[in-house]
Amino acid sequence: MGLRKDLRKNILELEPGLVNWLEIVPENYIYRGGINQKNFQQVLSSKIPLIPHGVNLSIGTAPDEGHKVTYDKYLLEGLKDLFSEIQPPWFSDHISCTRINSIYLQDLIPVPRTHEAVEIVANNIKFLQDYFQLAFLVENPSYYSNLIKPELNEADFINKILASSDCGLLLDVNNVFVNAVNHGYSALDFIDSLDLERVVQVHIAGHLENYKCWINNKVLGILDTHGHPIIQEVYDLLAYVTSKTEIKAVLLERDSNFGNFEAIVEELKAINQIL
Amino acid sequence: MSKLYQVQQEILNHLLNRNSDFRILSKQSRDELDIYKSLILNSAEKFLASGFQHSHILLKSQWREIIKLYLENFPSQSPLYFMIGKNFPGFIKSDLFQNKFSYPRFLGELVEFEWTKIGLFNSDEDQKNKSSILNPVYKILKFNYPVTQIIAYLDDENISQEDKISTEVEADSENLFVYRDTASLQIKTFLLSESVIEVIKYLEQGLSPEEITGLLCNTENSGQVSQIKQELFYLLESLKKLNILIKY
Repeated sequence: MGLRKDLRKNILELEPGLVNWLEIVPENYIYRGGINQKNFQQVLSSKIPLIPHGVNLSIGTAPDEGHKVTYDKYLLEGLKDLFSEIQPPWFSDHISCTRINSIYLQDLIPVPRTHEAVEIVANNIKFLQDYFQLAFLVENPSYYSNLIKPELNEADFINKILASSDCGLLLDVNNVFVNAVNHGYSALDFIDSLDLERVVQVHIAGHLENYKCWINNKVLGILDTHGHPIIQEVYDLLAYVTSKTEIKAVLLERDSNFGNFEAIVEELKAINQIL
Repeated sequence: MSKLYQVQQEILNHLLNRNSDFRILSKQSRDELDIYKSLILNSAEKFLASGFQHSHILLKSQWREIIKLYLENFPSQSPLYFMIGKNFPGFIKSDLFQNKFSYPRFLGELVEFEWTKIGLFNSDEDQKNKSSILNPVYKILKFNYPVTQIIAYLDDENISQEDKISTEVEADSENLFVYRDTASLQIKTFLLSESVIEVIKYLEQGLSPEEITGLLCNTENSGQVSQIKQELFYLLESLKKLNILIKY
């Protein structure tokens, strides 16, 4: 499960074996003090392995002219301290852009699927793997715009990034479902087109149908929320992936609507059954 | 300059609602980006409403427009999400806000107080500054309006929202000591007199009680040394009990 402050107590009290590791958003645990620090120490003392899944490494950001890569030194230094404390087996982030001109956008903005973008993303990943001396996984993000006419289909874009940067894949099966519906393709065909040998970790989550954008009143087919129950089709995608390749870790990604924790526990059990 | 760089400049311009000549992003792409704009605003509105909860009570009806303008003009440059509120006090004091929205005169100080509490709650000063005599997670605020009384008024459930918004508050200065308690890790506040602020500044410099007494005594009060010593003793004991003076 993802360690979220509203779930921390529940997770630490779960029956043994149901949750074998926890994913953390590392940006929430760097430069920490007060209650955040105290709670984090409590989790650390529980000896549950922690794996960082970032949101702000922004591997999809194009560097300024004359630079090969782009990064935020303050963030990297904070993460380095955190990683040395928790000693994770790998870390991950999304194929997305969350920082432009040192401004943090507070959401995962898609990266246009071009050959140039493959090179830029791969360079940023190689830099991070070198800086942290740690294996990196990229996550296939959900996206609501191609931004510009794509030069590559989604699977080719991801495969080329994986090959160019020699990193692993964090396959989010809910994102596959969301994108397949929103952009009109077959989720199974998409999974079959991926280099599945590179899958190390899987995310599974819920989503919201028919999100109405209040700015322009347009209705989006599905919004990736991490706050709703997992539907059967998404469980089926997890089963499909596990039948095709060996994966090391699966995460139930839940970021909001924690009210009914028993329902979340049922989802954990359903995932474990598939595995 | 890479094409990706140029696309991302246009994305930024669109998200921040900046006047720009969009050469790469089509109208359709910009419409699609509005989904992200709405999601970013939704999260920020919620987060800032909980962090600046008393300001939110006063600005509720204008909140969405305020946060939209704030994010467009003071976007966060920190990877830490809570820092999204860092520039909010500056924004509230800016012409950009003041020329567009209606607000009570004390709002700037109220927002500054609320941001101070958020900042201290998250501060890692205690991790960086472990040998400090004083609890390192604190701030002294000097206000022209009675912010603590205003907050108590806004918290009063017996007062209607309408009255809360319309009530005039007279200027009445107060000095506040805001700190994170080392035991409960909660943010606490108490009123300070000018003389206590002076003592705290001496304590910050690492001065002993004798040295502080010496500095507090002048020609006018030289006959009251023993009384000053005693008052200082009581003050230091109080500061210890409040987990403000931690290694003395």
